[in-house]
Amino acid sequence: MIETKRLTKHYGNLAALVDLDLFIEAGDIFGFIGPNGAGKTTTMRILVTLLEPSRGQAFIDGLDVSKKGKEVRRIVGYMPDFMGIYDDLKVFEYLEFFAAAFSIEPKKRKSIVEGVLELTDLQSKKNFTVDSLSRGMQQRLGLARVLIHDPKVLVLDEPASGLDPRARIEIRELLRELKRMGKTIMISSHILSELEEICDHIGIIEHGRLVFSGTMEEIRRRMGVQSKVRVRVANNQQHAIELLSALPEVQDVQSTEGYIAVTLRKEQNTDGIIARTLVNGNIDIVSLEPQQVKLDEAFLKLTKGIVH
Amino acid sequence: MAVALISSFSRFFNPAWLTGPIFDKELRVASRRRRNYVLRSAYLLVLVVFVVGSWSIAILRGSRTSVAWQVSRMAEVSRSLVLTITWFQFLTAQILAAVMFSNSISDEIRRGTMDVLMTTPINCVQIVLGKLFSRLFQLMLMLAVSLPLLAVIRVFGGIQWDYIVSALSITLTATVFVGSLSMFLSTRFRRSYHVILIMTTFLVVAYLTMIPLSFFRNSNSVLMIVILHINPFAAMRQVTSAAFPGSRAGATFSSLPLHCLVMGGASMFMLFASAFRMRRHALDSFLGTNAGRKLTIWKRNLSSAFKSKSSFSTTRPIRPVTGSPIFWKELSKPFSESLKSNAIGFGILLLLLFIFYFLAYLSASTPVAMIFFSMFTSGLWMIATIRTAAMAATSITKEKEARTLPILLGTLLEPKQIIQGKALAALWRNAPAWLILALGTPVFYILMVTRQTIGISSLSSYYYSYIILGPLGIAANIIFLIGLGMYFSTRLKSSTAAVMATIGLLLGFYVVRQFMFTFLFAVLGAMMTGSMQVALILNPIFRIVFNAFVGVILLRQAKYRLRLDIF
Repeated sequence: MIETKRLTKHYGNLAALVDLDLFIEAGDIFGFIGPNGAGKTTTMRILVTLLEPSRGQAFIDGLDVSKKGKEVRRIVGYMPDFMGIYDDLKVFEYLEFFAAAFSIEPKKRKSIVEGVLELTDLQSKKNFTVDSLSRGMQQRLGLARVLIHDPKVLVLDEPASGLDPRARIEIRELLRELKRMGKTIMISSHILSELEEICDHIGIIEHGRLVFSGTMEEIRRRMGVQSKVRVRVANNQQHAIELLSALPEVQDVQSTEGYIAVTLRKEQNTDGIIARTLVNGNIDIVSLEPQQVKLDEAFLKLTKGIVH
Repeated sequence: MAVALISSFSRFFNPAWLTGPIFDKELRVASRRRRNYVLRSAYLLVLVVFVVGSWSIAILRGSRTSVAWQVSRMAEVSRSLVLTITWFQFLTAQILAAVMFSNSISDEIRRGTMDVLMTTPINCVQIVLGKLFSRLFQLMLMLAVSLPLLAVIRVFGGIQWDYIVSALSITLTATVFVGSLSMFLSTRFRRSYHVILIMTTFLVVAYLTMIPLSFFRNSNSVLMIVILHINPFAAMRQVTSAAFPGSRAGATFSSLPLHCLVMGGASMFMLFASAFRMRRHALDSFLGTNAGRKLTIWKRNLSSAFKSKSSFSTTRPIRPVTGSPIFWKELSKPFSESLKSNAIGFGILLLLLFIFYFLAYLSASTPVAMIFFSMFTSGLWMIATIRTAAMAATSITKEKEARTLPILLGTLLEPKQIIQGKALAALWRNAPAWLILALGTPVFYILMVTRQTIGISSLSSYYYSYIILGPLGIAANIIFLIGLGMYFSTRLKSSTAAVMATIGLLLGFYVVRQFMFTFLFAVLGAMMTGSMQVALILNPIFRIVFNAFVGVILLRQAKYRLRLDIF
């Protein structure tokens, strides 16, 4: 659905994007992460036809964004990192204005606006002026605006920034609902744990270059990070450590804060081996939690140049 | 003990005590801004045009006489140059002060830096004075540029030092007052272009009150004395008249120090009012909305009578989007209400127009009605010009400042539709004034002809051409103004910069054009007789074609640039 080929953007001497190759499947939620100034916003702005690339091409649904600007805008909904508002308009007027701007027929506008207000749970606020809404409400209104012309693709630049936890959860649920509706979503965020929960694919960008693109599983494989398991036993912890240390699949065993942290060797089939060993050794297991690599860990390692 | 006393005295008299670190910070920031250097260069350029123009005109007038005669006229030329420079300084210093102070406080509030400043030991008076002195310093630098020139010209004689000193004193006090007023308004209005619009209207009105003074020969009348002491334009006119022997005003403006004191007092009042409003803003910000206000019942009633736009917005019904969405959005009020307010404005102006028509009918044999009508139309023209240009100049920058331009350009609206909608809105908001000017003026001239105030035989080609070409000229002028404003609005990022650039270029353009025309008159007058009539007829035609052509080109450029300078 979204594809970039050697996409490059220069601001004077500064290279904001360098030969960026991206591919996002239809119906996916693609998380785009990177440090500040890495080139996320520039990529998004090119995709929504607000910037011209210096070199390379970008396609949305097969349409070249540089050549078919109007057609691209018809199928894309863009939410910038800072949501500008018209403070003299009411919520309903704001959405109806954008409905008119997307050439939606006057007869259909009211029902469409009511529909997106319902989807974003803003019906009770339709008579409020936009500037009187809280930040969370304004972000939801931004999403409502993005949906007004029923686009296939949503490009959301940090939609959850500056929101309180409740508003963030609400936005996350809304995004899941949009995915269920079949929308392709490209989203950037600094709150990596959230992206991990909702994204099918992740792209990590640094200094204008894509350092990684793939699923979370692919991140783990790429990083070569071993799986860790946290075990809590009811009795005889020292014996448990000895038993586990003796296993060939286990690389390291450590005791921390009442837990036993077990690091497994990579590419080992370890299904059930820890539990089986402990049970056979007459040790009662209280809990056994596999600990997988977190997105923020991967992000830190990938953007520090540890993995190339 | 003595050392401690000296130390506390020196701290008290140290200028830094008055302004705190604000003065330093403002100067440092100003020195990094490119626009300040552009402004100084533009000022110098226009000054040079003025001086060269005045010089050429003065020399050309006597071109057919001998060199000895020309040398003997040097005193007259010197007087003309000094007059040009002092009036140029007087006008530009006030305009620049109005613009430079228009965002002095509102920018701090908008960026949230005012709250930070308020948490430091710096007090409101120091902030206000720091901003005042730092910006005045910039202005004084510009005024100082012309001082050596004035000193050199003085060598030719023909003008007294008294005039130069008086003119500079009036300019200085007027600039401080205009700056203080503009600063006070910047505590009231979030957007600096609102302040610029109010200030330019204020300056136009102050300028126009100078004109009736021509009718008062007795400078000791109470009205005259009051006007002279509160209006810098009137004071400046009076000292100018006094400097020229045999001038009609004749009387010397003897109470200049009192005028300066009055202006200084008014400036101080404005500065303290600004500091008070800032303090109230800080209290509102820290303690909650309106915490800093102790409104009496009548004040509350008064404020509800002049409801702000936001409170208006919460009570009004939802208005459906009709027609062009951009035009619909640009009208802050519903179309019907906008139509109503436009109709009221049109009605008031029409009433005034009919009063002038009636005056013209009554005073058929005197030029009084003509003079007052000219005053009315020139005032209306100036205000409509500045409003139209400023509204066009802020139309796109407003979107950039509110960061709504990217989402607007993310819709299916084409740049052409956006520019058209915004241009129409700028025109719509100023329609009453332009309609009155386009239709009312030719009718007035026809009336004057029929009452024989001008007299058909003596009716110059200028009036004939105006009756026919006036409405066309106004239409072309509107296209030019909107084109110029729109162009800068797409080029620049902030509304203040766009308004400054538009109004600055506009003033420069009008001044240069006027000088060129005067120069042409002088040349034609020197070359042959009778060519003046041709020039009078050709001038409006040239203006119409030029304005419309340049306006259309600028609008096309604005349309082209809209997608280029988004962020």
